[in-house]
Amino acid sequence: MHVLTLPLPQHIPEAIASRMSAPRRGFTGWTRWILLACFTALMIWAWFGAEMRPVELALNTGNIAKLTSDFFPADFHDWRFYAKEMVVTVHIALWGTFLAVLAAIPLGLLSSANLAPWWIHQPVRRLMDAARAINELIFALLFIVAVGLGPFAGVLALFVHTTGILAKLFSEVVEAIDPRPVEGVRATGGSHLAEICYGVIPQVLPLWVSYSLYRFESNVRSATVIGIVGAGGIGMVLHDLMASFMYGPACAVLAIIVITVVAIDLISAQVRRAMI
Amino acid sequence: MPIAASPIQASAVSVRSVSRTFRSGSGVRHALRDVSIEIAPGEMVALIGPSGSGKSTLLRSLAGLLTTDAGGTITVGGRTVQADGRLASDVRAIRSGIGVVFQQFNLAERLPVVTNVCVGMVSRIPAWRVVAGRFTPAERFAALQALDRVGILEQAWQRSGTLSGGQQQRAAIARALVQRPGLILGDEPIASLDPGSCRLVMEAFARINREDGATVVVSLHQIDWAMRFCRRVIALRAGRLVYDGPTAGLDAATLRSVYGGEFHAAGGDDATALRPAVPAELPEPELVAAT
Repeated sequence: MHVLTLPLPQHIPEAIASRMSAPRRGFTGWTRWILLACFTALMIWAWFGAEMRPVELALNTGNIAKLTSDFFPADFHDWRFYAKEMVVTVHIALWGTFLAVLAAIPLGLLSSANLAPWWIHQPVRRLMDAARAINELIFALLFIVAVGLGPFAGVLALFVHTTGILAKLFSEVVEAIDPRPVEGVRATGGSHLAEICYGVIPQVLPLWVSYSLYRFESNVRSATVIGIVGAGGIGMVLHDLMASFMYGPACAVLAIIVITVVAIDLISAQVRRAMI
Repeated sequence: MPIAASPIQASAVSVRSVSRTFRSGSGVRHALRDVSIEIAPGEMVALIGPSGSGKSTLLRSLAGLLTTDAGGTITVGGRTVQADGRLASDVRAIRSGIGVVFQQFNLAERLPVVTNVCVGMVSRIPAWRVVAGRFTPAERFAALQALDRVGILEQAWQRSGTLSGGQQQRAAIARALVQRPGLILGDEPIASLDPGSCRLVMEAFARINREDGATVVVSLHQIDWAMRFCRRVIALRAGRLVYDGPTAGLDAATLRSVYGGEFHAAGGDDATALRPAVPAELPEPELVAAT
């Protein structure tokens, strides 16, 4: 095969020569080294804070192997009960996500800089930051105090935390829209509401649905965890089994969790693909 | 069907000493400088001028989508759109009487064509129906009738984004049509279309002007379209009105005064060789034939 090589001319004009390689961007010179040093120092500090002990991990492999072997064979004797509690967990995730989506629609619109003035979108954003910053596990502990042990506390915990996440994701989508269809509605004399319904929503809907389904998947996983603190569902069962050293049944519960989460992820991914 | 049957009251347009200055970090750009224009009801006017001459700024100011500098006044159909740099308090009501057709169509691509057309009526329907997306049979009929007029009734239930550029632009015209507007503005409506679609879109404008009697102001990049469809031409250059008169009065010298200087400003006389010098190169006989 004949390969054509483009020859570099002898004389390159200065205007071109100075642009032959990409200009350096970002941090240069000393700043670069100082930043690297800072990062290294941070990681070393965190090493002690996190009490990292890789040697012990290696020395204790025997214990870990012993514990692992206790889990097998899995004891599926009570599987009907586990399955029932797993369904409750999915129910918690369903309602937690559904309420969060309903709340995140107005809150997401209100925290979009291209729709709401700063004195609205800034406070709403900070509120959503707070909802997001506090883990659902902590919200679960709070709601257990408020509404008592059980799935409803889990629903409320997921609802508040997920609202914070979805409102942020929703508003990011809104801020990335093409402004022209919105202007098209405005030019017909439409109200703000009409601009949102016919200019904004049609553009953001596929991603909003996608994010909502993704949060539902995540919330099924989270719902198994918040059960551990007493907010209902399979997590509560798992906690009880682990606390009474019943590792065989616990292994069965874990298997059921894995199967359910994988199944829901697969179904949800299919739905999301169909929506876009 | 009151929506479709009532005759249009064409709007007069009055622009009095309007200026618009854009300020950015680096400097000041005068998009419009003391422009005054009077357009009678029912006229069909072409707005021409090189890129950056202020055509789009003028049209968007007319539509009440952009405010102008203090000191100017814009009225459409006798109602003040904006005065002294401030939009009228009832600007949404005034906008509903002005149809705007944009270069990039500005449709919601995922919605069916007919829904996009119905959007032209949202200013007249209650808020709950806006949110619910409920349009009455009479409204749907008006939308379909408008689509029929622009020749894309077949595509009514297709997603707008699946249509060709020319079809999308005609959908946008149908959206403007159901507003029953006294004034239709076209902001470079054919700049991103193929020649065949350009003709269909320009014919739609001409028909609305002729049959419905609406005033039409349309900015155009190519002068031959202005020659073919409009009797009156308004030319802008660097934000200033440089020609306002019959299309027949546009001779090569006038066109050179509209476009000519741009070549010098763009980097000396050499630039003329690099750019397609549309107006200067247009031979005189062709201009006559085109009209």
